[in-house]
Amino acid sequence: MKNILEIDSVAKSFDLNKVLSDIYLKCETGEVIGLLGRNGTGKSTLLKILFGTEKAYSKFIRIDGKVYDKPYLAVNEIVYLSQDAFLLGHLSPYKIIDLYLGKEKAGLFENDPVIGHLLKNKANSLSGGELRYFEIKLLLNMPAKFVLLDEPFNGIAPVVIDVLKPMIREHALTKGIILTDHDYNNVLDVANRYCLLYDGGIKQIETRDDLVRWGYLLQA
Amino acid sequence: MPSQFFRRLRLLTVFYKSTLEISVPVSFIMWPFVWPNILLGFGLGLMSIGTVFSLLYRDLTHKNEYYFYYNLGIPRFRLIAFCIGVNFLIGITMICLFK
Repeated sequence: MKNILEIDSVAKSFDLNKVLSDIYLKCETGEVIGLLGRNGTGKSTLLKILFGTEKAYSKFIRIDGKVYDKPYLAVNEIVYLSQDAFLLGHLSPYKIIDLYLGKEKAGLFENDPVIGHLLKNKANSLSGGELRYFEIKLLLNMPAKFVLLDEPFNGIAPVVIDVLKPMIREHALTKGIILTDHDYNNVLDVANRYCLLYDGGIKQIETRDDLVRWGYLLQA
Repeated sequence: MPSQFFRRLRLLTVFYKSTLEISVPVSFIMWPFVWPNILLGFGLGLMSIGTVFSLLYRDLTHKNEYYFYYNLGIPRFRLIAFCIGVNFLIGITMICLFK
């Protein structure tokens, strides 16, 4: 079944600085949207508005035609990977899996090459990269229709990123995924649609030349 | 759904337990300034200054951990209300038992 997430008429300012103005973005099941943009263009802000934890001057969010003010309050609709670690460090990954997915899903993690041997440790004993990987895998395995990933590759070793990318693509068969990261090569590799936040609006990106035209890259 | 209810209750309990590391020591240290009896002072402290300190501490040092609960559909105000409610119940019980 195809699900559709739409966000429309988003306007957001910080003091007098207008960050987002009249944004429209649509994501369907099967899509991995790579949201690019220079520092301070409002990528994280847009994802938080979409999740429902950031206020906006105006916004209109629909999932499968139903309007939500705070989508995160709806069960199994949307989940969000924040830029900073959000898992409770005093709990073990086993306990976190139990709370998020149920004990029966622990098997998905037990043979994992990156964190399989660390499940009984406390989460705060995992390295930054291991924790980030665990957070992403946890969210992807939740029954939510849409997953928002804010800088998923930050602090993760290239070899682990190579494990993550096919995992993201696999889960996109049943979910819609929006991700943003400054590691644009990995974003271009994993996403199947690209957008650039520029001057408060969204530009659709078809080729690397478009990224040069909008000042995101110096050369293609 | 009962399973959803119990799952949320478990998560609220996880949050509440995480506030105890601050609320209990603060209430214990502050009891002489709240009431001359240690048990009543502790109960009243837990209801007031202990709750406020523990929630402020979480907001200042572990703010991002609220996303742990947001991803499971639990808003911040519900976590705070649960924490205040439980501490209030414990405080009232101690006052009733030891006054």
